[in-house]
Amino acid sequence: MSQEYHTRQTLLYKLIDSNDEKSWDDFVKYYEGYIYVVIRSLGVKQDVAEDLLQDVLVKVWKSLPNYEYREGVCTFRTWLCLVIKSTVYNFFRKKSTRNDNKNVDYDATLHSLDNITEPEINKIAELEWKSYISNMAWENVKDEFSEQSRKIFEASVHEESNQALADKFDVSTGAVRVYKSRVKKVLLREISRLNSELGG
Amino acid sequence: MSRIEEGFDKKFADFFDELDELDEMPLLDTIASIKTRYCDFEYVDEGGIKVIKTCRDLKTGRVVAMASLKKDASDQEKEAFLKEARLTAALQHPNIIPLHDLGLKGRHPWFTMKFISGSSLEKILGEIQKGNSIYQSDLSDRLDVFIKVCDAIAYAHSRGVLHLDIKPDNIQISEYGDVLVCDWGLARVMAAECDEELLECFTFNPKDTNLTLDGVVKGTPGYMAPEQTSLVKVKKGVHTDIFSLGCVLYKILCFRKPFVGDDILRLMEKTATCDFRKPTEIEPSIPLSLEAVCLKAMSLDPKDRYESVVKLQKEILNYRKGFATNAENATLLKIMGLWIKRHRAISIATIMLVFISLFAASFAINNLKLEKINALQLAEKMSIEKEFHIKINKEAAPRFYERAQIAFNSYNFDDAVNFSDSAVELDPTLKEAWRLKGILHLIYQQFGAAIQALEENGDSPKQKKIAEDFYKIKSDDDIPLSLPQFLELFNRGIKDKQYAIVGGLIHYKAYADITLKERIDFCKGVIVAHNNYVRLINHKDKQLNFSYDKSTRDLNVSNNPWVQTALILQNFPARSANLSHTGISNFICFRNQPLRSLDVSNTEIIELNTLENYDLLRLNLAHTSVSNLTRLRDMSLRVLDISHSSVRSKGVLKDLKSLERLTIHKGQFDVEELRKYLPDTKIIVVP
Repeated sequence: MSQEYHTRQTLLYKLIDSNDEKSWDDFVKYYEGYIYVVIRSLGVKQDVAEDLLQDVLVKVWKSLPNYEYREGVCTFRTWLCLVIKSTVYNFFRKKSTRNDNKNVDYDATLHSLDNITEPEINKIAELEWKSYISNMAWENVKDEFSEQSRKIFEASVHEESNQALADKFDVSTGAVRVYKSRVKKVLLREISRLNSELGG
Repeated sequence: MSRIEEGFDKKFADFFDELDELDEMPLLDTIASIKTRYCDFEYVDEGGIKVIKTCRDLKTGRVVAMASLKKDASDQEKEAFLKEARLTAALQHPNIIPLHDLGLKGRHPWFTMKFISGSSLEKILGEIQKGNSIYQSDLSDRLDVFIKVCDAIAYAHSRGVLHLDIKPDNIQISEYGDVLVCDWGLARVMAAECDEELLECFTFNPKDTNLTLDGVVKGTPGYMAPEQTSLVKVKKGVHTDIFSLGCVLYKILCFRKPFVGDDILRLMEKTATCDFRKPTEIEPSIPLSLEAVCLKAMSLDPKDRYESVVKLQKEILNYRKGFATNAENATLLKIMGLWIKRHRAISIATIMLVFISLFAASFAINNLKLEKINALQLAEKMSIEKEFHIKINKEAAPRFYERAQIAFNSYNFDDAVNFSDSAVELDPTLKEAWRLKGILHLIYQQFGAAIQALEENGDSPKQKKIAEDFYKIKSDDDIPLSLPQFLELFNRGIKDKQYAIVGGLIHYKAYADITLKERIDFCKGVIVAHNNYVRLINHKDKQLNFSYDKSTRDLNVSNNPWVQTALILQNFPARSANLSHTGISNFICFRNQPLRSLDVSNTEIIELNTLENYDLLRLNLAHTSVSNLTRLRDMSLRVLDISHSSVRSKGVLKDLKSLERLTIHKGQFDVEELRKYLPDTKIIVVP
């Protein structure tokens, strides 16, 4: 959609064109969490992931000027995920050569990284983005709701049956439907807003 | 501290997928950005010339049904198609299919209407008969459907529109019981009764015969009225639809078409004589009162049918409420029987009362006289109303005449006939309309009617003389003139300088449904007659060269220098035509010919504006004075000869990318330069 395309372009151009602190901070604010979840999804442990996040950010900072938007070929997210992958990969390769004795764990990670092709990176990029944006949206809006409706909604994500939810929270099924639908409406609106603001 | 992302629930990603694409953008922008409104086409059904598909309307976000014409539709068919759409749009009723939008894709018209998810009455009845469905299996439910159909048709009639193709196939019933009457493709406007704006849809059927252009019977055999077969000559009207409604009722009652036959002719014969089995003969359990309604609606003589759909509908409603229907001429006993059914509880006491009343009734006979007086008064009132009606409509007559004149000037004779008929019907004092009607009858070779009309006009002695002279030759208006007689009439028109008649006769013949042999004979005769004055001056001994090869469909009329007009060749089924070395000066004679190849070299043609054969692949313009080729841009010519023509500019030539061969004469162009523009074209230079 043209609108989406437009937003993405302006956000990135702002980053690429101006090397100022402000827009970099913006970028970090928006994308830090996303980069983190992608790193984690590549099979990296929590303690290492924090370090790697910093590495990736540095690398992005350096190579952003080289990024060229090509519609349909390489979206920003895919590019970002490729940067993440190569950073993670390099990190583990260094570790594994440096520490010959204790590298079993790293080797396994390396091996699984080797198997990730570009289309798969694409998939991960998309999947993590959806999850990231949706979760962020939930973080943003969940305080607007009463504890009851928040809890019912969170439970409803994993429990399809309204009856089961009604029994669990001791309310009527009608109430469950109302809670779900109200919260969902707000959540979807927030997801939509975030998605277009962060530039898909 | 662990990052909040650690607590993320991947299940939430599902919500992202629920975002509709449209939701991401404000609707305001979404709708503004829509370029192609309809997408996701899916084939549903097709008829003779129409195709129905479903598609998604991006602007409203709903699924609609789109009707469009098949690719090879003629302009006339397109016009009829658009008129159908306009007419459907004018009919706004809960039981008539609503039309949403209408437009053109290039030159191809389409319209969208409500998409009904359900099935036709035909299908539903079939399923019930097979025992597959219990939906609508109760007669009372089916009568409900019928009553709604009556509603729709009664409304259409009130707007001055006849459907003329009512049948269970054209009645759609949605899953939730909506009943919609569809397919107004054969509908006609009753000009004297419809609203002003519906006049533009008037006479959309090309002819007042029952055959469509492709020779298919109009209306659906099995449900059509006797007057819709060509065997019975009665004007179509409200009674025609009432007959078809009777047939639908018949089908609802006994699951069969009233008319069946092995072949179409037999079927037509049966329809024309109203030869069908009574419903109770097929299924004895059918209520007699309903059978009576059915039989009355399906009377052979329109006068015996119901006067209006409302009256027919009233009878069904009466039946449903448990009253006797008028059609069964109920006896007192029957009425009492029904009454007892309705009011079982108090009936016994009342039977006593009835006997007492019967006794009293003899006194009431006196009252009948009073009723008679009432009836007379009513009749008087009706006649006053009718007069008033005529007075109002009189003022509309000149408008009808105007439309008739426009139709006549564009050679749309059938419309012209209908409009002039209506004009004189509304105002018999309108002299000009009578004259036009007279001329039209002359063109249709109906001399009896022509004399009558010209008599009313009283101021066209020449035309009237022609009509009278030819009435002596042929007095039956229903048969056409023979070829020699036709040519005589044609020559007479030329001699008397009646060019409207001459032009009319040519056009009428060229576009008539005639056999190839007849067409060739007429073409030869008319070309000679039309150009005779030139021939007599300096080509006296020349015969007409005219040949047509049926298998290759090559028409050759070349080497007739005295032929200046060949208009009769319009609509000739030739694929290639050669009129080189003739005196023709425009392309009008090639109209409606399915030409792929055309040779007009060595003619008097000077420009291409009248060339309308867009499917041409080969064109020879050698030795003509044509200088401007702009017209050829719209075609995909493969072979072109412009040698010794007046073409000197490369402008348009550059755009003719589909050219495989181009012939020019020496010195006409810089050949090398031309090759640069047309690298794939073989350029032949003749001396």
